[in-house]
Amino acid sequence: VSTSAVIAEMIADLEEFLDSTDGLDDLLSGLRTLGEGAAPTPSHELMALLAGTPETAPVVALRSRPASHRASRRNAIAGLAAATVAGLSITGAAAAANELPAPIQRVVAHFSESYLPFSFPRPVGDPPAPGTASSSDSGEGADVSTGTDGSRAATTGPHEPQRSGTELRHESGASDAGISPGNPDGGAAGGTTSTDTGAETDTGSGTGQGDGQDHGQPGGTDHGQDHGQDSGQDGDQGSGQGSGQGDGSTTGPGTGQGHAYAGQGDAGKGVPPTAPPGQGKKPTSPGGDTAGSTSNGGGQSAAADDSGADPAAEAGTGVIGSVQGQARGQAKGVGGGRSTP
Amino acid sequence: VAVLTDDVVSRAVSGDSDALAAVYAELAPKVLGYLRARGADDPEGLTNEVFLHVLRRLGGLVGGADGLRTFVFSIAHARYVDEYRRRTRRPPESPYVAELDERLAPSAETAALTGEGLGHLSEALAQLNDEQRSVITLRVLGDLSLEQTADVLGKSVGAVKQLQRRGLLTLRALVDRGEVAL
Repeated sequence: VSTSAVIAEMIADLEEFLDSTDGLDDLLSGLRTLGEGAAPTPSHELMALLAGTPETAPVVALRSRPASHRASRRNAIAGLAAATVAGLSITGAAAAANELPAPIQRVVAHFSESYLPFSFPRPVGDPPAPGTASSSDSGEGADVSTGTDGSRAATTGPHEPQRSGTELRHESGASDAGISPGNPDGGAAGGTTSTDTGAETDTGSGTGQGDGQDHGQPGGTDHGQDHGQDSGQDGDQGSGQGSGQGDGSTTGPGTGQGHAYAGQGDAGKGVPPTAPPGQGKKPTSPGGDTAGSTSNGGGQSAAADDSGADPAAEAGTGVIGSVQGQARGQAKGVGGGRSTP
Repeated sequence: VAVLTDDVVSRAVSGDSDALAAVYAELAPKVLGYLRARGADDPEGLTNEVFLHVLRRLGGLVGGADGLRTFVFSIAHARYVDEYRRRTRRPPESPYVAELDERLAPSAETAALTGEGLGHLSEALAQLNDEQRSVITLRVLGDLSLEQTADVLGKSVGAVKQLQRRGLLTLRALVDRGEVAL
Protein backbone atom coordinates (compact mmCIF):
# COMPACT_ATOMS: atom_id res chain seq x y z
CA VAL A 1 0.00 0.00 0.00
CA SER A 2 1.55 3.25 -1.05
CA THR A 3 0.41 6.72 -0.20
CA SER A 4 -0.64 7.44 -3.72
CA ALA A 5 -2.48 4.19 -3.90
CA VAL A 6 -4.38 5.05 -0.74
CA ILE A 7 -5.33 8.46 -2.10
CA ALA A 8 -6.32 6.95 -5.42
CA GLU A 9 -8.46 4.38 -3.68
CA MET A 10 -10.14 7.05 -1.61
CA ILE A 11 -10.93 9.18 -4.63
CA ALA A 12 -12.08 6.21 -6.62
CA ASP A 13 -14.49 5.30 -3.90
CA LEU A 14 -15.86 8.81 -4.02
CA GLU A 15 -16.25 9.07 -7.79
CA GLU A 16 -19.57 7.28 -7.80
CA PHE A 17 -20.96 10.12 -5.72
CA LEU A 18 -19.30 13.00 -7.52
CA ASP A 19 -18.96 14.01 -11.10
CA SER A 20 -15.56 15.49 -10.54
CA THR A 21 -12.96 15.14 -7.85
CA ASP A 22 -10.77 17.90 -9.08
CA GLY A 23 -8.75 19.56 -6.42
CA LEU A 24 -9.47 16.88 -3.88
CA ASP A 25 -6.45 14.78 -4.78
CA ASP A 26 -4.29 17.88 -4.54
CA LEU A 27 -5.66 18.56 -1.12
CA LEU A 28 -4.93 15.04 0.02
CA SER A 29 -1.49 15.14 -1.52
CA GLY A 30 -0.79 18.34 0.39
CA LEU A 31 -1.88 16.53 3.52
CA ARG A 32 0.45 13.72 2.69
CA THR A 33 3.40 16.06 2.56
CA LEU A 34 3.00 16.62 6.28
CA GLY A 35 4.42 13.17 6.83
CA GLU A 36 7.38 13.50 4.49
CA GLY A 37 9.60 15.67 6.60
CA ALA A 38 12.54 14.60 8.65
CA ALA A 39 12.13 12.45 11.67
CA PRO A 40 12.22 14.39 14.92
CA THR A 41 15.36 14.15 16.97
CA PRO A 42 14.94 11.27 19.34
CA SER A 43 15.40 11.84 23.02
CA HIS A 44 18.28 10.21 24.91
CA GLU A 45 16.06 7.47 26.19
CA LEU A 46 14.71 6.79 22.74
CA MET A 47 18.19 6.83 21.27
CA ALA A 48 19.24 4.21 23.77
CA LEU A 49 16.34 2.05 22.73
CA LEU A 50 17.10 2.54 19.06
CA ALA A 51 20.72 1.53 19.69
CA GLY A 52 19.55 -1.71 21.19
CA THR A 53 20.80 -0.87 24.70
CA PRO A 54 18.90 -2.75 27.32
CA GLU A 55 16.51 -0.50 29.08
CA THR A 56 17.23 0.45 32.59
CA ALA A 57 15.06 -0.77 35.36
CA PRO A 58 11.66 0.85 35.45
CA VAL A 59 11.54 3.89 37.61
CA VAL A 60 8.36 2.70 39.23
CA ALA A 61 10.07 -0.39 40.51
CA LEU A 62 12.93 1.62 41.93
CA ARG A 63 10.55 3.84 43.78
CA SER A 64 8.33 1.12 45.05
CA ARG A 65 11.09 -0.69 46.91
CA PRO A 66 12.03 2.10 49.31
CA ALA A 67 8.40 2.91 49.79
CA SER A 68 7.57 -0.64 50.76
CA HIS A 69 10.67 -0.81 52.91
CA ARG A 70 9.67 2.31 54.77
CA ALA A 71 6.18 1.02 55.19
CA SER A 72 7.36 -2.27 56.60
CA ARG A 73 9.73 -0.45 58.91
CA ARG A 74 6.95 1.74 60.19
CA ASN A 75 4.79 -1.29 60.74
CA ALA A 76 7.57 -3.03 62.63
CA ILE A 77 8.13 -0.05 64.91
CA ALA A 78 4.44 0.33 65.55
CA GLY A 79 4.12 -3.34 66.36
CA LEU A 80 7.07 -3.24 68.68
CA ALA A 81 5.69 -0.22 70.49
CA ALA A 82 2.31 -1.86 70.85
CA ALA A 83 3.88 -5.04 72.18
CA THR A 84 5.95 -3.05 74.66
CA VAL A 85 2.96 -1.14 75.94
CA ALA A 86 0.92 -4.30 76.24
CA GLY A 87 3.72 -6.11 78.04
CA LEU A 88 4.26 -3.29 80.51
CA SER A 89 0.56 -3.04 81.18
CA ILE A 90 0.16 -6.72 81.84
CA THR A 91 3.28 -6.84 83.98
CA GLY A 92 2.20 -3.82 85.93
CA ALA A 93 -1.23 -5.22 86.57
CA ALA A 94 0.20 -8.53 87.67
CA ALA A 95 2.77 -6.81 89.85
CA ALA A 96 0.11 -4.67 91.48
CA ALA A 97 -1.83 -7.80 92.25
CA ASN A 98 1.30 -9.45 93.56
CA GLU A 99 0.78 -12.33 91.23
CA LEU A 100 4.11 -12.35 89.53
CA PRO A 101 6.61 -15.03 90.39
CA ALA A 102 8.47 -14.12 93.52
CA PRO A 103 11.81 -13.22 91.93
CA ILE A 104 10.16 -11.06 89.32
CA GLN A 105 7.84 -9.53 91.84
CA ARG A 106 10.83 -8.71 93.99
CA VAL A 107 12.64 -7.05 91.13
CA VAL A 108 9.57 -5.09 90.15
CA ALA A 109 8.99 -4.04 93.73
CA HIS A 110 12.55 -2.91 94.12
CA PHE A 111 12.40 -1.02 90.89
CA SER A 112 9.19 0.71 91.82
CA GLU A 113 10.50 1.60 95.24
CA SER A 114 13.58 3.12 93.72
CA TYR A 115 12.35 4.86 90.65
CA LEU A 116 8.62 5.15 90.66
CA PRO A 117 6.35 7.36 92.66
CA PHE A 118 4.41 4.33 93.75
CA SER A 119 5.45 0.97 94.98
CA PHE A 120 4.44 -2.48 94.03
CA PRO A 121 4.06 -4.95 96.82
CA ARG A 122 6.90 -7.22 97.62
CA PRO A 123 6.42 -10.89 97.32
CA VAL A 124 4.87 -12.64 100.21
CA GLY A 125 7.42 -13.53 102.79
CA ASP A 126 9.84 -10.78 101.95
CA PRO A 127 10.64 -8.19 104.53
CA PRO A 128 9.00 -4.90 103.92
CA ALA A 129 11.01 -2.46 102.03
CA PRO A 130 12.89 0.09 104.01
CA GLY A 131 11.19 3.35 103.83
CA THR A 132 7.76 1.99 103.71
CA ALA A 133 5.45 2.72 106.54
CA SER A 134 6.10 1.19 109.85
CA SER A 135 5.59 3.13 112.90
CA SER A 136 6.74 2.18 116.21
CA ASP A 137 4.14 3.40 118.40
CA SER A 138 3.73 0.72 120.84
CA GLY A 139 3.76 2.98 123.70
CA GLU A 140 0.84 4.92 124.69
CA GLY A 141 2.85 7.98 125.25
CA ALA A 142 3.54 8.30 121.64
CA ASP A 143 0.39 10.07 121.01
CA VAL A 144 -0.97 13.29 121.91
CA SER A 145 -3.66 13.48 124.32
CA THR A 146 -4.39 16.32 126.42
CA GLY A 147 -7.19 16.75 128.68
CA THR A 148 -9.22 19.72 128.28
CA ASP A 149 -8.33 20.69 131.64
CA GLY A 150 -4.79 20.24 130.96
CA SER A 151 -4.60 16.92 132.48
CA ARG A 152 -3.41 14.14 130.49
CA ALA A 153 -4.93 10.86 130.61
CA ALA A 154 -2.77 8.63 132.51
CA THR A 155 -1.98 5.78 130.39
CA THR A 156 1.01 4.25 131.83
CA GLY A 157 1.98 2.80 134.96
CA PRO A 158 -0.22 0.13 136.24
CA HIS A 159 -2.06 -0.03 133.06
CA GLU A 160 0.85 -0.80 131.02
CA PRO A 161 0.61 -4.48 131.35
CA GLN A 162 -2.73 -4.30 129.76
CA ARG A 163 -1.25 -2.59 126.82
CA SER A 164 1.84 -4.44 126.51
CA GLY A 165 2.12 -7.08 124.04
CA THR A 166 1.18 -6.80 120.49
CA GLU A 167 -1.35 -4.32 119.59
CA LEU A 168 -2.62 -4.14 116.18
CA ARG A 169 -3.29 -0.73 115.09
CA HIS A 170 -4.69 0.25 111.86
CA GLU A 171 -3.00 3.31 110.84
CA SER A 172 -2.53 4.35 107.39
CA GLY A 173 0.36 6.55 107.87
CA ALA A 174 3.51 6.83 109.68
CA SER A 175 3.21 9.99 111.42
CA ASP A 176 0.81 11.19 113.87
CA ALA A 177 -0.37 14.60 113.89
CA GLY A 178 -2.38 15.15 116.85
CA ILE A 179 -4.17 18.25 117.65
CA SER A 180 -5.82 18.27 120.88
CA PRO A 181 -7.29 21.49 121.73
CA GLY A 182 -7.69 21.59 125.35
CA ASN A 183 -9.79 23.57 127.55
CA PRO A 184 -7.66 25.86 129.53
CA ASP A 185 -10.04 25.84 132.28
CA GLY A 186 -10.60 22.26 132.42
CA GLY A 187 -7.78 21.39 134.58
CA ALA A 188 -8.71 23.60 137.36
CA ALA A 189 -10.70 21.14 139.20
CA GLY A 190 -8.18 18.65 139.86
CA GLY A 191 -5.17 20.61 139.39
CA THR A 192 -3.94 17.82 137.42
CA THR A 193 -0.53 17.54 136.27
CA SER A 194 0.55 14.99 133.91
CA THR A 195 4.08 14.37 133.28
CA ASP A 196 5.57 12.25 130.71
CA THR A 197 8.56 10.87 132.23
CA GLY A 198 9.18 8.18 129.83
CA ALA A 199 11.74 8.43 127.25
CA GLU A 200 10.51 7.40 123.97
CA THR A 201 12.81 5.74 121.73
CA ASP A 202 11.59 4.29 118.56
CA THR A 203 14.13 2.41 116.78
CA GLY A 204 12.04 1.85 113.83
CA SER A 205 13.32 3.21 110.67
CA GLY A 206 11.54 5.38 108.36
CA THR A 207 10.36 8.82 108.28
CA GLY A 208 7.45 10.26 109.88
CA GLN A 209 5.94 13.46 110.59
CA GLY A 210 4.00 14.24 113.56
CA ASP A 211 2.37 17.22 114.78
CA GLY A 212 0.69 17.53 117.97
CA GLN A 213 -0.35 20.25 120.06
CA ASP A 214 -1.27 20.15 123.56
CA HIS A 215 -3.54 22.79 124.54
CA GLY A 216 -3.78 21.74 128.01
CA GLN A 217 -3.63 24.61 130.22
CA PRO A 218 -3.80 25.72 133.69
CA GLY A 219 -5.23 22.74 135.34
CA GLY A 220 -2.40 20.64 134.45
CA THR A 221 0.72 20.58 132.60
CA ASP A 222 0.91 18.09 130.00
CA HIS A 223 4.35 17.35 129.06
CA GLY A 224 3.32 14.80 126.75
CA GLN A 225 4.17 16.18 123.46
CA ASP A 226 5.18 12.81 122.66
CA HIS A 227 3.16 12.91 119.61
CA GLY A 228 4.12 12.11 116.16
CA GLN A 229 7.71 11.64 115.62
CA ASP A 230 7.21 8.05 115.47
CA SER A 231 10.02 6.66 113.67
CA GLY A 232 7.68 4.31 112.16
CA GLN A 233 5.67 6.11 109.64
CA ASP A 234 2.10 6.24 110.24
CA GLY A 235 -0.10 8.22 108.11
CA ASP A 236 -2.99 8.86 110.19
CA GLN A 237 -5.75 10.93 109.26
CA GLY A 238 -8.06 10.58 112.02
CA SER A 239 -9.84 12.52 114.45
CA GLY A 240 -11.10 11.69 117.72
CA GLN A 241 -12.48 13.10 120.72
CA GLY A 242 -12.12 11.90 124.10
CA SER A 243 -12.89 12.90 127.49
CA GLY A 244 -11.91 11.48 130.67
CA GLN A 245 -11.23 12.06 134.16
CA GLY A 246 -8.25 11.16 136.04
CA ASP A 247 -7.08 11.91 139.38
CA GLY A 248 -4.48 9.46 139.83
CA SER A 249 -1.03 9.32 138.78
CA THR A 250 0.47 6.80 136.66
CA THR A 251 3.98 6.19 136.25
CA GLY A 252 5.57 3.48 134.50
CA PRO A 253 7.12 2.32 131.40
CA GLY A 254 5.14 1.39 128.48
CA THR A 255 5.86 -1.23 126.08
CA GLY A 256 3.99 -2.45 123.25
CA GLN A 257 3.92 -3.07 119.65
CA GLY A 258 1.89 -1.54 117.08
CA HIS A 259 1.43 -2.43 113.51
CA ALA A 260 0.13 -0.16 110.99
CA TYR A 261 -0.92 -1.29 107.66
CA ALA A 262 -0.98 0.60 104.57
CA GLY A 263 -4.00 2.38 103.51
CA GLN A 264 -5.97 1.45 106.46
CA GLY A 265 -7.24 3.59 109.06
CA ASP A 266 -9.94 3.23 111.49
CA ALA A 267 -12.06 5.78 112.97
CA GLY A 268 -10.52 6.53 116.14
CA LYS A 269 -12.13 5.20 119.09
CA GLY A 270 -10.35 5.61 122.17
CA VAL A 271 -9.98 2.75 124.40
CA PRO A 272 -9.69 4.39 127.63
CA PRO A 273 -7.03 3.15 129.76
CA THR A 274 -8.26 1.78 132.85
CA ALA A 275 -6.88 3.40 135.81
CA PRO A 276 -6.38 1.43 138.84
CA PRO A 277 -8.47 2.20 141.74
CA GLY A 278 -7.40 5.16 143.52
CA GLN A 279 -5.52 6.55 140.74
CA GLY A 280 -8.16 8.42 139.11
CA LYS A 281 -10.50 8.08 136.34
CA LYS A 282 -9.12 7.45 133.06
CA PRO A 283 -10.13 9.54 130.21
CA THR A 284 -11.91 8.12 127.39
CA SER A 285 -9.92 9.37 124.58
CA PRO A 286 -11.03 8.34 121.21
CA GLY A 287 -8.41 10.48 119.81
CA GLY A 288 -7.02 9.81 116.49
CA ASP A 289 -3.84 8.39 117.65
CA THR A 290 -3.96 8.54 121.27
CA ALA A 291 -2.66 5.87 123.37
CA GLY A 292 -4.61 2.80 123.39
CA SER A 293 -6.81 3.87 120.64
CA THR A 294 -7.27 2.96 117.16
CA SER A 295 -7.53 5.68 114.73
CA ASN A 296 -9.22 6.04 111.54
CA GLY A 297 -7.48 7.81 108.81
CA GLY A 298 -7.07 8.14 105.21
CA GLY A 299 -3.41 8.21 104.94
CA GLN A 300 -1.25 6.25 102.71
CA SER A 301 1.49 4.02 103.57
CA ALA A 302 2.65 0.62 102.84
CA ALA A 303 2.73 -1.95 105.46
CA ALA A 304 3.54 0.10 108.36
CA ASP A 305 4.78 -2.02 111.01
CA ASP A 306 4.87 -0.34 114.18
CA SER A 307 6.58 -2.10 116.85
CA GLY A 308 8.29 -0.58 119.63
CA ALA A 309 7.90 0.48 123.05
CA ASP A 310 6.80 3.77 124.03
CA PRO A 311 8.00 3.99 127.48
CA ALA A 312 6.41 7.19 128.21
CA ALA A 313 5.86 7.29 131.78
CA GLU A 314 3.34 9.64 132.76
CA ALA A 315 2.68 10.77 136.15
CA GLY A 316 -0.03 13.03 136.80
CA THR A 317 -3.28 13.51 138.23
CA GLY A 318 -6.02 14.27 136.04
CA VAL A 319 -9.32 15.43 137.13
CA ILE A 320 -12.12 15.76 134.80
CA GLY A 321 -10.09 15.72 131.82
CA SER A 322 -11.33 15.61 128.41
CA VAL A 323 -9.37 14.94 125.45
CA GLN A 324 -9.95 16.08 122.03
CA GLY A 325 -7.48 15.17 119.59
CA GLN A 326 -6.97 14.97 116.02
CA ALA A 327 -4.27 13.18 114.43
CA ARG A 328 -3.37 13.73 110.95
CA GLY A 329 -0.42 12.64 109.15
CA GLN A 330 0.93 10.96 106.24
CA ALA A 331 4.05 9.07 105.95
CA LYS A 332 5.54 6.08 104.54
CA GLY A 333 8.02 3.82 106.04
CA VAL A 334 8.64 0.99 108.23
CA GLY A 335 9.34 1.33 111.73
CA GLY A 336 10.17 -1.44 113.93
CA GLY A 337 11.55 -0.46 117.10
CA ARG A 338 11.46 -0.82 120.65
CA SER A 339 11.78 1.74 123.17
CA THR A 340 12.89 1.38 126.55
CA PRO A 341 12.00 3.70 129.23
CA VAL B 1 14.30 6.35 1.31
CA ALA B 2 13.94 3.57 3.73
CA VAL B 3 11.34 1.10 2.86
CA LEU B 4 9.51 -0.66 5.62
CA THR B 5 9.45 -4.30 4.71
CA ASP B 6 8.56 -7.40 6.64
CA ASP B 7 12.22 -8.33 6.80
CA VAL B 8 13.19 -5.02 8.32
CA VAL B 9 10.42 -5.30 10.81
CA SER B 10 11.46 -8.83 11.66
CA ARG B 11 14.99 -7.70 12.36
CA ALA B 12 13.72 -4.78 14.36
CA VAL B 13 11.66 -7.12 16.48
CA SER B 14 14.78 -9.18 17.15
CA GLY B 15 16.55 -6.03 18.36
CA ASP B 16 18.66 -5.11 15.36
CA SER B 17 19.64 -1.49 15.80
CA ASP B 18 19.83 -0.77 12.07
CA ALA B 19 16.38 -2.13 11.55
CA LEU B 20 15.12 -0.14 14.50
CA ALA B 21 16.62 3.00 13.05
CA ALA B 22 15.02 2.22 9.70
CA VAL B 23 11.64 1.78 11.36
CA TYR B 24 12.03 5.06 13.15
CA ALA B 25 13.17 6.90 10.02
CA GLU B 26 10.24 5.53 8.04
CA LEU B 27 7.41 5.96 10.53
CA ALA B 28 8.45 8.85 12.77
CA PRO B 29 7.84 11.57 10.11
CA LYS B 30 4.43 10.16 9.38
CA VAL B 31 3.53 10.03 13.05
CA LEU B 32 4.79 13.57 13.44
CA GLY B 33 2.70 14.67 10.45
CA TYR B 34 -0.36 12.93 11.83
CA LEU B 35 0.03 14.65 15.18
CA ARG B 36 0.59 17.99 13.51
CA ALA B 37 -2.46 17.54 11.36
CA ARG B 38 -4.48 16.75 14.44
CA GLY B 39 -3.22 19.89 16.15
CA ALA B 40 -1.19 18.37 18.96
CA ASP B 41 0.55 20.91 21.17
CA ASP B 42 3.94 19.24 21.15
CA PRO B 43 4.02 16.85 18.18
CA GLU B 44 7.74 16.22 18.44
CA GLY B 45 7.62 15.29 22.10
CA LEU B 46 4.54 13.21 21.55
CA THR B 47 6.27 11.38 18.70
CA ASN B 48 9.09 10.52 21.05
CA GLU B 49 6.63 9.15 23.57
CA VAL B 50 4.95 7.08 20.88
CA PHE B 51 8.16 5.42 19.82
CA LEU B 52 9.32 4.88 23.36
CA HIS B 53 6.15 2.94 23.91
CA VAL B 54 6.43 1.11 20.60
CA LEU B 55 10.04 0.06 20.97
CA ARG B 56 9.51 -1.24 24.51
CA ARG B 57 6.78 -3.54 23.24
CA LEU B 58 8.22 -4.43 19.91
CA GLY B 59 9.29 -7.89 21.06
CA GLY B 60 5.85 -9.42 20.80
CA LEU B 61 4.87 -7.80 17.55
CA VAL B 62 3.37 -9.95 14.84
CA GLY B 63 1.99 -9.06 11.43
CA GLY B 64 5.07 -7.75 9.69
CA ALA B 65 5.17 -4.24 8.28
CA ASP B 66 1.41 -3.82 8.18
CA GLY B 67 1.12 -4.97 11.75
CA LEU B 68 3.84 -2.56 12.85
CA ARG B 69 2.25 0.33 11.01
CA THR B 70 -1.12 -0.39 12.58
CA PHE B 71 0.50 -0.73 15.98
CA VAL B 72 2.43 2.52 15.70
CA PHE B 73 -0.55 4.57 14.62
CA SER B 74 -2.72 2.98 17.24
CA ILE B 75 -0.30 4.26 19.85
CA ALA B 76 -0.07 7.64 18.17
CA HIS B 77 -3.83 8.00 18.04
CA ALA B 78 -4.17 6.97 21.67
CA ARG B 79 -1.49 9.42 22.74
CA TYR B 80 -3.15 12.20 20.85
CA VAL B 81 -6.51 11.44 22.44
CA ASP B 82 -4.91 11.45 25.87
CA GLU B 83 -3.20 14.75 25.18
CA TYR B 84 -6.39 16.25 23.82
CA ARG B 85 -8.36 15.24 26.87
CA ARG B 86 -5.68 16.57 29.17
CA ARG B 87 -5.61 19.84 27.30
CA THR B 88 -9.38 20.10 27.45
CA ARG B 89 -9.42 19.62 31.20
CA ARG B 90 -6.69 22.20 31.82
CA PRO B 91 -6.08 24.69 29.06
CA PRO B 92 -2.46 25.77 28.95
CA GLU B 93 -1.56 29.31 29.91
CA SER B 94 1.23 31.07 28.12
CA PRO B 95 2.21 34.69 27.64
CA TYR B 96 1.33 36.38 24.41
CA VAL B 97 4.05 36.39 21.79
CA ALA B 98 3.29 38.33 18.66
CA GLU B 99 5.52 36.18 16.51
CA LEU B 100 3.49 33.15 17.43
CA ASP B 101 0.13 34.74 16.77
CA GLU B 102 -1.32 32.71 13.94
CA ARG B 103 -3.93 35.34 13.25
CA LEU B 104 -1.28 37.43 11.58
CA ALA B 105 -0.86 36.92 7.88
CA PRO B 106 2.58 35.46 7.20
CA SER B 107 4.84 36.91 4.61
CA ALA B 108 5.43 35.03 1.39
CA GLU B 109 8.87 34.09 2.53
CA THR B 110 7.63 32.78 5.82
CA ALA B 111 4.91 30.83 4.08
CA ALA B 112 7.41 29.34 1.70
CA LEU B 113 9.76 28.35 4.48
CA THR B 114 7.22 26.89 6.82
CA GLY B 115 5.02 25.23 4.28
CA GLU B 116 2.12 27.29 3.32
CA GLY B 117 -0.18 24.38 2.75
CA LEU B 118 -0.44 23.49 6.44
CA GLY B 119 -2.52 26.49 7.27
CA HIS B 120 -5.02 25.73 4.54
CA LEU B 121 -5.04 22.08 5.39
CA SER B 122 -5.72 22.91 8.99
CA GLU B 123 -8.64 25.03 7.93
CA ALA B 124 -9.96 22.28 5.73
CA LEU B 125 -9.57 19.60 8.36
CA ALA B 126 -11.19 21.86 10.92
CA GLN B 127 -14.40 21.57 8.89
CA LEU B 128 -14.55 17.84 9.51
CA ASN B 129 -15.76 16.23 12.62
CA ASP B 130 -13.29 14.41 14.79
CA GLU B 131 -13.98 10.94 13.46
CA GLN B 132 -13.84 12.01 9.83
CA ARG B 133 -10.58 13.81 10.52
CA SER B 134 -9.14 10.75 12.16
CA VAL B 135 -10.02 8.46 9.29
CA ILE B 136 -8.65 10.73 6.57
CA THR B 137 -5.41 11.60 8.34
CA LEU B 138 -4.75 8.02 9.33
CA ARG B 139 -5.32 6.77 5.84
CA VAL B 140 -3.31 9.46 4.06
CA LEU B 141 -0.48 9.96 6.52
CA GLY B 142 -0.28 6.46 7.93
CA ASP B 143 -0.80 4.62 4.69
CA LEU B 144 -3.39 2.52 6.41
CA SER B 145 -5.99 0.48 4.69
CA LEU B 146 -9.63 0.55 5.64
CA GLU B 147 -9.14 -2.52 7.78
CA GLN B 148 -6.10 -1.12 9.53
CA THR B 149 -7.84 2.18 10.14
CA ALA B 150 -10.82 0.32 11.54
CA ASP B 151 -8.47 -1.51 13.92
CA VAL B 152 -6.86 1.70 15.07
CA LEU B 153 -10.16 3.43 15.72
CA GLY B 154 -11.96 0.39 17.01
CA LYS B 155 -14.69 0.67 14.44
CA SER B 156 -16.01 -1.52 11.73
CA VAL B 157 -14.71 -1.26 8.20
CA GLY B 158 -18.08 -0.09 6.97
CA ALA B 159 -18.19 2.68 9.54
CA VAL B 160 -14.73 3.78 8.59
CA LYS B 161 -15.60 3.73 4.94
CA GLN B 162 -18.69 5.83 5.60
CA LEU B 163 -16.71 8.33 7.67
CA GLN B 164 -14.10 8.58 4.96
CA ARG B 165 -16.69 9.18 2.28
CA ARG B 166 -18.48 11.92 4.20
CA GLY B 167 -15.21 13.57 5.07
CA LEU B 168 -14.07 13.63 1.47
CA LEU B 169 -17.38 15.03 0.34
CA THR B 170 -17.03 17.83 2.84
CA LEU B 171 -13.53 18.61 1.64
CA ARG B 172 -14.69 18.52 -1.94
CA ALA B 173 -17.38 21.01 -1.15
CA LEU B 174 -14.85 23.29 0.47
CA VAL B 175 -12.71 23.12 -2.63
CA ASP B 176 -15.65 23.84 -4.85
CA ARG B 177 -16.61 26.86 -2.81
CA GLY B 178 -13.00 28.08 -2.85
CA GLU B 179 -12.79 28.06 0.90
CA VAL B 180 -9.63 25.99 0.72
CA ALA B 181 -6.73 27.32 -1.26
CA LEU B 182 -4.90 24.57 -3.00
